[in-house]
Amino acid sequence: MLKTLSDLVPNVFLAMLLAAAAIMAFATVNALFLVWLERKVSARMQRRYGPTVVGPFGMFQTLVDVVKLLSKQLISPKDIDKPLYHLAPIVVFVPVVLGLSLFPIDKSFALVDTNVGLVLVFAFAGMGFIAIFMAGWGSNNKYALLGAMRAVAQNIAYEIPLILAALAVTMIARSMRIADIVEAQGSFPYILVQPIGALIYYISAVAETNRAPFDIPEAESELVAGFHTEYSGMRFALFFLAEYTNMVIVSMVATSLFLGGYKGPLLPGPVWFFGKVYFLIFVMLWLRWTFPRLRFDQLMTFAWKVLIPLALANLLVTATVLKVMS
Amino acid sequence: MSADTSLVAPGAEKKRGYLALLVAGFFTLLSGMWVTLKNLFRKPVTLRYPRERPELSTAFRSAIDLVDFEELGSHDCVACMQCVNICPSFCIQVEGQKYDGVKRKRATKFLVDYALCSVCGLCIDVCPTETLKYSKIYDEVSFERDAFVFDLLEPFVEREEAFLEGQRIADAKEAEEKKKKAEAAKKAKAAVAAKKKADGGEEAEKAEKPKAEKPKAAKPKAEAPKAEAPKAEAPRADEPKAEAEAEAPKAEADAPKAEADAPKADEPKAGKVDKAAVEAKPAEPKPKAAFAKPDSDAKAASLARIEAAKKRALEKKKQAEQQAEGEGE
Repeated sequence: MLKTLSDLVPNVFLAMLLAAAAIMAFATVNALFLVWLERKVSARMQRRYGPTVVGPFGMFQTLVDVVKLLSKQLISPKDIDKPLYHLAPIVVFVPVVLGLSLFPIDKSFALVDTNVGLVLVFAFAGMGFIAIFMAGWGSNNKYALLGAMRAVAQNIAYEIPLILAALAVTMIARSMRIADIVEAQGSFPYILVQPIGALIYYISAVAETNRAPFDIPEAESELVAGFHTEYSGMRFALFFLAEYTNMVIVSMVATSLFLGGYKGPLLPGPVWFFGKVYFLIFVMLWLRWTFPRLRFDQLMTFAWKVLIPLALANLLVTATVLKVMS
Repeated sequence: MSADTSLVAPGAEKKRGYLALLVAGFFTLLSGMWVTLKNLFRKPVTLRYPRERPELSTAFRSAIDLVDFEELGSHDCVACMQCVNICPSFCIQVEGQKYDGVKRKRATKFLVDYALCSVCGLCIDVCPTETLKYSKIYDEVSFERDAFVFDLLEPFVEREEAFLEGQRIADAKEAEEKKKKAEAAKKAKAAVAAKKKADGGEEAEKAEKPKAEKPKAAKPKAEAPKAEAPKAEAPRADEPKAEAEAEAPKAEADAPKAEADAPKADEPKAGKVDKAAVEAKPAEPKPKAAFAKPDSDAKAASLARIEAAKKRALEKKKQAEQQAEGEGE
């Protein structure tokens, strides 16, 4: 049976503390690793070496970068909206941390297990965009504001196909508990049942994480750095951390919904789970260093004219088939 | 929405339907990803510069450097000053010294100011011992001009004593051989002369014998120095003699000593080029033979030019001196 942290640790507060520590540690190490991986993958795709000096294969480069960011001065621009500006980096990080706790990494273990896990994940993911808008609005900077507006528009557009694609899966699994969905994928993953749904989910997920080719909110060639233009030092690092942890969360959702989560032959569950997650993340890096950024109208056209109709059709077909079969 | 907002080219949109476009677009994306995936596994082209250095072309020119001959265990600069004289940028400084027991002069100072050098290569072309070459320096950086004055003798300083010692031995050996040869030649000539006297009719036939012999012995010697210029046994010192010998036999009949004729026989053949060379370093006539190569038209021209320039410079100097004297008075 699935065990959660509260089963293992009787004291609620201790369990919360442990969970927070574990997730923070994971998020940080993961971000350090992913930034390194991103630089390495991009370098090799462009036939460069990437970081090589600090540590084996330059793996500690990001660690050194963090030290640099920690020692940087925190600059606050003039006429900012102080509460919003200062809250944004924290708010952007909170849902990310919450989202990480919901996934069963093995048949017998998840930090938190609720029967609305999937809803919670998407709810938390949506909160991240509020933080982005806070950052853009509070910065008193036209680029930041433009970036934030784009982020919100993009989020609204891509959240719909994302949830529609996930909805088809919940219809098949007849549950919103993530552990149940994984268990429902008996011997084959749902990507075989829902190939179009999986593709739509993955594309929308890349857009949700504001990554290339959908990185319009922080399009550096037009908007400096988008919503985090005015953030420096550790505040900027928190946005960065959130972005990379977000990648993990959407990949974890994709793994759980479509790739059978922790299931797999021979190797233990966590290995399969994280293997699948990091494969999906690698594909994200791969996409980023292959495709150029979409124009904003192209982005919107793609969401509203391609992804949403397809996701709706997918949902309709799934529902029909399920009704006929039952 | 206008056609411009579509993900595909406006022309293509009309021809194909919605789904066909989607599928086509999807496969286009896949082909793009295939390209990046292939490159992911290819070797990076980066040259990690300070740790790795590019392999420079053999035609690459940089500041000059002295060749370190394996056979000699050192460079072979004889301080003939030809590079100094030919340099259009006046960036070479050479000083030489004669050592006891060593036949040829030896450079004691060889400075090149790379900041002035125009990498024209004249010094390398003119070097009689071929001991100059282009170095592969390409990333020398400094805030001071003096940093570009390279002391080319620096790597050789430690080995200089050993080299001189070796050279002394080799030169002594060579001198001995020369003596022997000279004696042998004397004897042969004496024999020829005796035979001539004894038998006037067979003169032509007999005179040919030493002719046929000597060039055979001389030729390999004359060619060797060109291929592997500097040898420990100092074959170059032989060269003038060898050439002289090759030509001398004609005059031999009258001459009592072939070697005494050698310089005389050599000079008219070498012509203008040699004269210039001789003028440039009258104290040292030996290496000039290397200049007598017939393929040195360009060299001859440049040497002539240098000569002219030198004359002009001398005249100027004289004028300046006269002026100075005039002013002094």
